[in-house]
Amino acid sequence: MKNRLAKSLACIMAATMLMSLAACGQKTESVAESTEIAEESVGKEETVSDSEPVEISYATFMVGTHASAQAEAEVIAEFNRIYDGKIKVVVEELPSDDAFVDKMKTLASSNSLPDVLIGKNGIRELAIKNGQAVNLKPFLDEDAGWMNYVGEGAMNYNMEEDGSVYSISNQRQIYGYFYNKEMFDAVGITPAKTWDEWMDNNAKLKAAGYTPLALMTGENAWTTNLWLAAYIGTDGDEGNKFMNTPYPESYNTETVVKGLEMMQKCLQDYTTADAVGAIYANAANAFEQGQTAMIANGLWMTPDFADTTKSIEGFKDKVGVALYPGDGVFSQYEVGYILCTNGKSEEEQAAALEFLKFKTGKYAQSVFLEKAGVLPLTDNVDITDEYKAENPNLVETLSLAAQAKYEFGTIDNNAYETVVDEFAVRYPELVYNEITAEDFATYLTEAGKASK
Amino acid sequence: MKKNNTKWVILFLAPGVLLFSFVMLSSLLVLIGTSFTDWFIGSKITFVGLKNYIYLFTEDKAFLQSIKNTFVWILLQSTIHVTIGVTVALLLSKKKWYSSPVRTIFFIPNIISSAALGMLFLCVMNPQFGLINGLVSRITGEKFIQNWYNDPKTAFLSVTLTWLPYAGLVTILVMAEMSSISEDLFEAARIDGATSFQIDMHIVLPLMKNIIGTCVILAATSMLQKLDVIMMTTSGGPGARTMNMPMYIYKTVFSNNNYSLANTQGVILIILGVVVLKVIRTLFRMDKEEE
Amino acid sequence: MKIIKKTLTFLYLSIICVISLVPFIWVLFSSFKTNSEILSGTVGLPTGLHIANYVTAFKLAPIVTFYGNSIIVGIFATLLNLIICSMAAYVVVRCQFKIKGLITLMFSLGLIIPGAALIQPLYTTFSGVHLYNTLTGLVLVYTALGMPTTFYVMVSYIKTIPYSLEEAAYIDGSGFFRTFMQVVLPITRPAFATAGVIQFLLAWNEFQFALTLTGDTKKRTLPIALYYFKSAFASDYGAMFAATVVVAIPSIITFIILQKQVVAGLAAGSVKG
Repeated sequence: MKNRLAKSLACIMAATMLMSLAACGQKTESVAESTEIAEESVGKEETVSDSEPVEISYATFMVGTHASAQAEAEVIAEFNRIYDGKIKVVVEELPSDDAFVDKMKTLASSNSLPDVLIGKNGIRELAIKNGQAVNLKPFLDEDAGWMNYVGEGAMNYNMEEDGSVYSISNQRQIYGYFYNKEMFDAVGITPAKTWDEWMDNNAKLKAAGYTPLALMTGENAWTTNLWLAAYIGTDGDEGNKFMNTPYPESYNTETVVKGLEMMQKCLQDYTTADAVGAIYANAANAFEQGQTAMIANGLWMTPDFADTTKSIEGFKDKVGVALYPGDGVFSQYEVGYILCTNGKSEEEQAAALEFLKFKTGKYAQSVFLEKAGVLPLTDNVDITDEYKAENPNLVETLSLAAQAKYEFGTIDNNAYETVVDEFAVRYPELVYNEITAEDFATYLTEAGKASK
Repeated sequence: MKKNNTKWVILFLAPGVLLFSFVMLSSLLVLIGTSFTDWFIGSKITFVGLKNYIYLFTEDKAFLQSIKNTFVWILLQSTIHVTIGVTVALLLSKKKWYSSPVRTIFFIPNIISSAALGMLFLCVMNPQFGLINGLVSRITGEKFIQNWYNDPKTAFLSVTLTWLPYAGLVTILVMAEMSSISEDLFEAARIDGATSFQIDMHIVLPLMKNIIGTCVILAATSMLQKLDVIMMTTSGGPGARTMNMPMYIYKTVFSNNNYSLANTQGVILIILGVVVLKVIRTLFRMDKEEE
Repeated sequence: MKIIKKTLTFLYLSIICVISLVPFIWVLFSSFKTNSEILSGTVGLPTGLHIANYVTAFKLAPIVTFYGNSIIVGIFATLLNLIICSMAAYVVVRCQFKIKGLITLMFSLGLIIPGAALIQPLYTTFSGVHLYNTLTGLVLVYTALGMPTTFYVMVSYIKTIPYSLEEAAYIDGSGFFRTFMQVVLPITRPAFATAGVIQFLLAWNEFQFALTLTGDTKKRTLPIALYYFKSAFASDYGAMFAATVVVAIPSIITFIILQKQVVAGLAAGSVKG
C-alpha cells in the first residue's frame, strides 16, 4: 500500500519534471509568438461560414441580487431567441459593481473590452482613449426608429464636445428624497421649501425624539452626497452650473464649502450613530425600519418598501416623496452602453450594434421599467396606468419634477472616481473636527488632479 | 553531503523555477520597467526617468503615510501576532483533551473568506447596534457609542485587531514542527527535574527557531499583501490613517488608472519587503547552514 | 502556584477560543436571519430555523458549478504546489550549489510582489498563451502564489530531520530520488499536511485572480459566488452568509482531515534529538 503510493507519487513527480523541461524548450517560442497566435485566432473566427451564428461578447454586473438582474436576463434571452442562428450573445457575469469596474479596466488596458458593455465609472473614457469605442452618432442619424426611443435628451447628455456620441444611456434618473409621513405628521412639519427650513425641520424632529436623516459615508457616500449635491445644485445659477459640470476642476468654491459645513452639522447631530463609515445597506435599513425620517435616494428603492424582509409592516403607505429644498431635483441620464468593436470584422460590428440597439430600444426599456423600475429614456415608451397605480411614488416624482426650478446631476456621475473615494476617507475627519470644510474641498480638488 | 548530484538539483528545482518565471518573472520585469514611465490605462507608454519616484517621495503625503502604517503593522504582526501563535502552540502541545478542538477553533477565522469577514467586522463593531458597543453598554449600564473604524483615534487600532489576534496559522505551523521532537528529550529533562516552563524555554523554543523565523517572515510579509479587510472597513481612512501600501497601490491602479505610478509603488514595496526578509533571516540566522 | 498557572492557561485559551468562535457563530446565525435582522444587529439565535437564505443563495448564484471548479482547482493547485515546493526545498536544504541564495530569494519574492500589480501583466500573459478562461490557468497561478509559504514550511521542517537517516539509506545503496521518496517524504508528513491546508485555503478563497483570469460562468470558482449577493443598491447579506457557510464547510473538513496527519506524525515517533 505504502509502496504503491510512493510509486504513483514518483510518477507524478517525474511527469512534473518532464513537463516543465518540455515547457522550457517551448517557452521562449510561445511567448514570442503569443501575440501572433492571438491575432491569428481572431482572424479565424472572422471567416467562419455563414451558417454559424456570429458571437458577440457582452459583460454585465446586473446579476445576482442586483435590482435589474431579472430584467437583464429576460432581455438577453429574448435577443438570443429572436436572433437564433444569426447572432449569439456570450455573457460574462461580473457580480458586484466594483468587480465589474475593476475587470473592465484591466481589459481596457489590454484593448480587449467586450463588444458591448456599460461604460460607467470612467470605462467609456478609457474605451475612447484606447481606441476601442465606436462613435455611435452616424448610426443614430441613420436609424430614426431607434433614435425615437433614445431621444434627443439622452443623446445630447452623452455627446462629446466634437459632436460624437460614444454611449447610449440605459436610463433616465429623476429623483427627490423619501420621507416618513408618520414622523412628519407627528412633529407637524411638511417637506421644507428652503434649506434653512430643512435644518429647522431636522432640529424639530430631533427634539421630538426622531432621528432625522439616514446618512452613510462609506462606499461612495451615496445618501450623504445626494443632499450635498442638492444643496449645491440649488444654490443659485452658479451652484446649479457646478452640479451640471462634468469633472469640475476645483471644489474650492463658496457653495461647496457651505454645503460641506451643512453636512458636517447633519452628520454630527441629525443622523444615526453609525452613519459615519456606514454602507448603503445600513442607511437604507435605518429608513426602512422606521428609525429615521428621511433618506435621499432613487426610485429603485420603492420595491423595498413593500418587502417585509427589508421594511416594517405597512411601510409602503408611510413613504412620501418630495423635491429638495430650493425646488431642486436630480435629473440626469446614465452613461449607458458603449460599443467596443473598432477594428473587428464588419459582421461582428453589425451584430454588436444590433445588440446595442436592442438593449436600448423600446422592448428593453419597457422590460426594465416593468421589472426593475428603471425610467425609460423618452415618453415614447408608455407607462401603463396599471403600473402607475401600483407605483404612486413614481407618478408623484414625475409631477414634482415638472415643477422643479433646478435640475442637476449626482456627484457620482460628475466627479472622477478618485474624488468619490476621497469623500469616503475625509467625511470621518470632518465629523470628528480634524479638518475644516475648506480643507475638505482642497482635498477633493487635489484628488481630482490625480485623475487622468 | 552527497556530491555529484547536480543533475538532481536541476531536476528538482526546474519546475519551481519555470513556474516562477512564467507567472511572476515577466510581471516583475514589467513592474520594474514601467516604473520609469508614464502609463495610464488605455494610453501610450512614455519614458520619464525617475519622475514617479521623485513624486512619491516629495509630494505624495498619503503614500508616505501608507509606508509608515505598513511598517508599523509589520512590526506588530511579526512580534505580537507570532507570540500569540507560539504561546498557544506551546500550551496546546501539552496534549490535553482540549488541544485538538482548540487548535481547530483557533484556525477557523483563517477559513472564512474575507468578503464575509469584512461584513462581519462591520456589523460586530457597528457603533449603533454592534456587539462590542452593546456589551460595553450592558456592563457600564450607560449607552456607549464608539465609532471604532471611523473615529480618527481608534481607527488604526480597530483595523489592527481584525488580524492581530488571529494567529491560528502560526499555531499549526509551530505544532507541526513540534511533533518532530523526540519524546525521550522531554523524558530526560523531566528526570533532571526541569519544570514544563523550563522545558519550553530551553528545549522546545530553541528547536523551533527555524519555524518561528518562518512564521515571522510569513506574518511580516502578510502585511505587504493585506487589502480586503481594510478596503471593506475603512478604505484607508479617516484621511490616510489606515492606508497601507497594497491598498494604496490598488487605489492608484483602479481609481487613478495610473499603472506606472502603481508599479513604482510596487517596486518600493518589493524593496521594503526584501529588506524585511533580510533582517528577519539574519535575526533568526536562517541563512546559516547547520549540521 | 500550579493553580494560578492553570487558571491563567485556562483564561488565555478561553479568550482565544471566544474571539475565534464569535465570528464563525455570528456568520452561522446570520445565515438564518433576514437582511434587516442582520443590519439591525439582532443578537442571539435566529427566530426559527428558516433556510430561505440557503435557497436564495443557490438560486441566485451558480454555486453548484463553482463548487465543482473550486474542488478541481483546490486539489490540483495543492498537489502541484506541494510536489514542486517539497522537491525544491529538499535540494535547497541538502545540496550545495552556487545559486542557492538566488533560489531562496526567488521563492520569497511571491510574498512581497503586490497582487494588484500582478493582475494586468498576468492577464496579458495568460490570454497570450490561451490560458485565459481555463481552470489550468487558475491552478498554475495558485500553485505559484503559494510557492513561498510551502517552500518556507518545507525548508524549515526538512532542516529538523537528521541527515543520518538519509545517509543510512545511501549506504544501503538507495539513489537520490528513492531516498527522497522513501525516506524524506514519509517523515515530512506533518509539514505536508500543514502547508497543504494553507495552500488549499489560498486556492479555495482567492477572488481577484479568479475574476480576472476567467470570463465564462462555467469556468469560475466559489469566492466569486459571494459577490452575487453584494450589489451596490441591493445586497442580500443573509444569502451571502449562507453562501459563506456553504463555502467554509469543505475548508473546515479539509483542515480536520489534514491535521489528523500531524497527529499521526506525532504518534509515528519522532526523529528529532
